[in-house]
Amino acid sequence: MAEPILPYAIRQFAVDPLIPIEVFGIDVSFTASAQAMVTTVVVAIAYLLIAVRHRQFHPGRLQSSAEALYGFAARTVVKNGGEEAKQAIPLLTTIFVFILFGTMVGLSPIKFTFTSHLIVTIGLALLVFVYANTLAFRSHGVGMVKALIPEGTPGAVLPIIFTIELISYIFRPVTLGVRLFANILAGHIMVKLFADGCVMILEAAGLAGLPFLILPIAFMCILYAFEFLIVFIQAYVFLVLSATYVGEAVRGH
Amino acid sequence: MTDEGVRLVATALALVPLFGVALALGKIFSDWITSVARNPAAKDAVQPVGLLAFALTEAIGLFTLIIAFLILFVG
Repeated sequence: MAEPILPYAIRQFAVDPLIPIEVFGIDVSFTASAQAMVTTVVVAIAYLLIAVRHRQFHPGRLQSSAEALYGFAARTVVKNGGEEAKQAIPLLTTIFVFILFGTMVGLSPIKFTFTSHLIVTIGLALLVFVYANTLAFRSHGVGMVKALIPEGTPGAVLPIIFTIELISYIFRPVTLGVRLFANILAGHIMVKLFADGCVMILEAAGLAGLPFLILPIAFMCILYAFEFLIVFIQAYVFLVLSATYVGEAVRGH
Repeated sequence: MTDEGVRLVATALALVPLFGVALALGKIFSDWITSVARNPAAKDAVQPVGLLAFALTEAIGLFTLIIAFLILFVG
């Protein structure tokens, strides 16, 4: 059976290998996803380096924006994770900037969005999870397990409570990753669905269908503006939750 | 019912939790508006919490979307 041609709304998530590389039978091709990530890192580093190139006491426009970005991330981490999460500011700020810039780059037309792939977001979430657990182990040792038992739990229900808490603890990185992934995926499908609709109208009615394109294109513009808001909120939510997890891990409850 | 029919019904059923999400979102925004209207000085304090609650609730709606897609396209 021939593969049906999927609408662009679904097709946009296909990962095309740009430079096929194979090492010992494992596919490690340089893909569109990798290209988007490299672009993001280059853009973010270039922006931040150029912004602080001529540091001034009275910052210019560019330097102010970079300082505002960092200051916002750092303040959010301390506010949600407490003073104990201060040591996590560099890592969490980096992840925040990576997600924010990556998804913004992905919003430009005909560009791959790597945060719309579960493997990427789960990977980022696992990074935070492993980091938080390392911090918890360093400050509490094996006693970090006590964090999973609420104070004053009667002995009889202790195993049940412990199991439930353990499951919810293990599922934290999953929900953290899936939340970002699902938001970006749904947003991109919605925007591109209207684009597909425009193509369908043109195919069915030819140039006579042009006046009917006004409404879908207007919707697309509104959704696009909404997407920018969603991108920012999701990066912020990722930052807040990671900071909370790290703070909890260090405090031990 | 054919397999395809069962799959479509299952997809539709997977989207039922959206009802709860819609109620929750309505509650969040109504409380947000009420609190700001009663105490306009609290606007800045309410905003981050409101946005966080909105994003967390919206994520539940999108989880159902992912499950629906999995039922519809995978397997």
